[in-house]
Amino acid sequence: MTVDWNAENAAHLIRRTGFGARSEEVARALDLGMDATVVSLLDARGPSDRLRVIPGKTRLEELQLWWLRRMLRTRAPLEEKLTLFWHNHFATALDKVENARLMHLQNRTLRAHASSPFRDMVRAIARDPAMIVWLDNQTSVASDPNENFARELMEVFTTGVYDAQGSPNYTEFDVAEAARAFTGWTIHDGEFSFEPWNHDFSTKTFRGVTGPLDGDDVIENLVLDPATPRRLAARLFSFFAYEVALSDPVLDPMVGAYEGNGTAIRPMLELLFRMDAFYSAAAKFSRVKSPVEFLAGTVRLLRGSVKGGRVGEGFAGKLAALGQSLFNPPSVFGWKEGLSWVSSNGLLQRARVAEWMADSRRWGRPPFSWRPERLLGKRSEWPTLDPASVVARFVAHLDPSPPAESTTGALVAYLQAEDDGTPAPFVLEKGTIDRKVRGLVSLLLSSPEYQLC
Amino acid sequence: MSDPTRRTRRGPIPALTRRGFLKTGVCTLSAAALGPGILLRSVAGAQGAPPRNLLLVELDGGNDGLNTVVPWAVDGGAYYTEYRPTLSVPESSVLKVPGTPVGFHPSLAELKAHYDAGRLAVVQGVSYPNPNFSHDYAMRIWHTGLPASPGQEGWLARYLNLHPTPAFPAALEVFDRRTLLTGETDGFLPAADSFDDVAFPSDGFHPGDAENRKNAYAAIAAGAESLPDPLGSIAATSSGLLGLIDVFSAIAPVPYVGTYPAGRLGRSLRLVVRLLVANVGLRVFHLGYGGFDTHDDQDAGGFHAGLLATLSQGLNALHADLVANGLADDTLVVVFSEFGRTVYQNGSHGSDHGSVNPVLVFGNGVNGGFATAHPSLDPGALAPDGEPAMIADFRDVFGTVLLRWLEETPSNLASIFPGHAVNDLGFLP
Repeated sequence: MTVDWNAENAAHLIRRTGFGARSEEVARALDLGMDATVVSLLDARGPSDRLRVIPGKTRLEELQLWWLRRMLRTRAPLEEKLTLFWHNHFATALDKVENARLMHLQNRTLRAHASSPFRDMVRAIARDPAMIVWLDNQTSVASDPNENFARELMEVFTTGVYDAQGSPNYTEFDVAEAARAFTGWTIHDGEFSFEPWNHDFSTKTFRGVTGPLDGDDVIENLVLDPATPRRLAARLFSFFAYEVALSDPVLDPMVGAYEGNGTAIRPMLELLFRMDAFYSAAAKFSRVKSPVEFLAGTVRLLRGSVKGGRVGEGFAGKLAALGQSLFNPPSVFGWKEGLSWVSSNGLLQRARVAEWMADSRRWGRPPFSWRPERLLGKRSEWPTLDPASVVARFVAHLDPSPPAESTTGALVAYLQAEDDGTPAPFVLEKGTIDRKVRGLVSLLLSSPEYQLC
Repeated sequence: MSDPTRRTRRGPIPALTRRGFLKTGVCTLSAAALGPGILLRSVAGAQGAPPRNLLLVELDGGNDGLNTVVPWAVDGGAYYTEYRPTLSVPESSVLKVPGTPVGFHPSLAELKAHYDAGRLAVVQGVSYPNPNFSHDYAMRIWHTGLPASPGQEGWLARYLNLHPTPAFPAALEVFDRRTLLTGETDGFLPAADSFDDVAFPSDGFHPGDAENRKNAYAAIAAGAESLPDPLGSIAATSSGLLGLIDVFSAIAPVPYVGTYPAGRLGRSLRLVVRLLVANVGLRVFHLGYGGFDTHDDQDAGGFHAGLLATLSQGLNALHADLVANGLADDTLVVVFSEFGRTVYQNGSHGSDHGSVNPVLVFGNGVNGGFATAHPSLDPGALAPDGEPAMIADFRDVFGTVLLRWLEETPSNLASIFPGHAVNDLGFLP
């Protein structure tokens, strides 16, 4: 490995494994070195879970706020980032599950297994009450199997429909046989329950294997199929580094790490975060921030504070407007990442949220507030800061893709524009901070450069 | 896709010309103002003829076609109720169509009236070879028109790309599943649910600074458009967004005469009417209407029936406003879904993913009636997957629309639906 451990690479790792790279976090990673940073990111565990879920009362907004706060406060950002990855991989929505306690439980399961062997993850998720309701397995009985879970287990969770060469990984017959293997896997009083009287114990033939197969046999077959680690590697690589095709040889070492370590995910990640490709020009600032990354990252980079009680409404509404309602993905396929986040509508919503955040003052107990003064450094230096230095200071804090000259030029011109548009000298003081510096931040947050990480 | 810095555009990027817009006004916005991509293209029409509008309504989740156009007497009525002991629509409530073995679901009263007036054509048994039963995959097949290997490029995007008359974007996406209108290029794709969605934000404390912020946003976007992707394409979309905001802010409200159902479909339909009346150049709309994945308790509390009622009332309201504004002869609505549902009801009082489904084609301009017969439900006549046999290929449905409604040439059709010879189904003159 030839990765030069410099500030640029350290910042890239922090950005991709967390929610916004703050200067002190980058400095710490630089100090530790690459290997120790990767290990500490993977070892770190967040605080124990203090959400009290009251059945029938806890609303989507409260769940969302609970998770968002974890992202903001945790010392284990990668744990949250991986949980977000798995939430998109095993996408399940409260809309259908209609039980906040089960959704919360699933989030804990995803977090607990975030870098476990994949076999354990899939076995846990096949017994996860929210998943069972989401994919109708509680209605799947020997006399009338429901194929929904069996199909998505293959299509979405493990092998995918086609392998890297474009050949189908399974047939409709396999779907029907797998569905029979999961009959009787249901829930009772909100817990997983196996009901032998509803299970089909007879012989099945699944992907060429014949026997009295049950759900775990099907899972074992799928997690050991070479298509599964390749697809997982592609999804992990595309999420953390840049978008790749299944057949890309850059994935080979990650596939090998999974296969050589009993379906382990952690060695795949250890490799990924040390790869040349991960630190390549193709990776840096190539990822469109998802709405969650945009929101949580901005709160952290502005060093703002979120208030109790009323916060839920504010951030939940923003998540929905930006198109990523946590705990409520649009379908079992999760959210489509990448440029589809930044359609004209997506960019409009981002501009609105940018304005909302930049202009959140402390008056009236808003859900979120921040103080521009805190990011401007010593007050005694203010008179010496010209518009270009003010722009540079916020660029450093907000960590966008390196801005185009035209972008910094437009921001400097903005600082120097009177209400009627005529140029005027810019002086940093209380009034201009409230009018212009907040405007500058709003513009930076809605710039093309800030949408990338 | 391994190199995200790769440029994906064809040709040079047109500059933002908001100034041009301000000079010339909404209706004559003619410059390539809204960034690159498929949606700069206008819809073709015969020279001098009024432009024709196309509205595609997608029932997201897989609509139960057997409980939409009900085959109560197909095969002598032997099988429908047998397959669906509790899920079938009772014969007494079916809105029967004389001379056919089918009828409409009772929630479709408004559409039945349009059928009786010759404004509704129904293509039955629509699917494609080797149907796929996954929502996402099947939807991509319908969007791309390529059942064997769907890829990511919509057939409607290919059509729009063949007609590169610079104009205001011709198409508006009102659905979060965008493949139908997405080209190979990542161009500017207008998307909106309502007019309120399309306004530039401002700081309530300093309204005087709002124009400065908008100008700076425009300058940042214009300056970054020439950067490599993804920055360049995000910047181009930002420029397009500003153009769209300017246009939307100048569009007057419409005094609606139709009674629209509450919720997303009604809201989207009102948006379409207002944009059509304003005549800004948007001619093609793709609307999503979700909730059709009825695996369980399909009719508890009239759930599926309610979805159909909303559709029927919504399209009826749309038609009333199109008539009131002289647009009814020039606007065609096509209602489809990614697949139908199983002929058998399942153990959860619902139905699972099926294949064939009816497509509804609605408008003053259609040859009303049933363009194809309902497939047989005889167990011996079912396809190997257990679903009724395909009667019409969905590419023939959309191909007929392109050929007859948008007057596309047969040679262009061959490149819009490669590998498929379009068969004119005759539901349009």
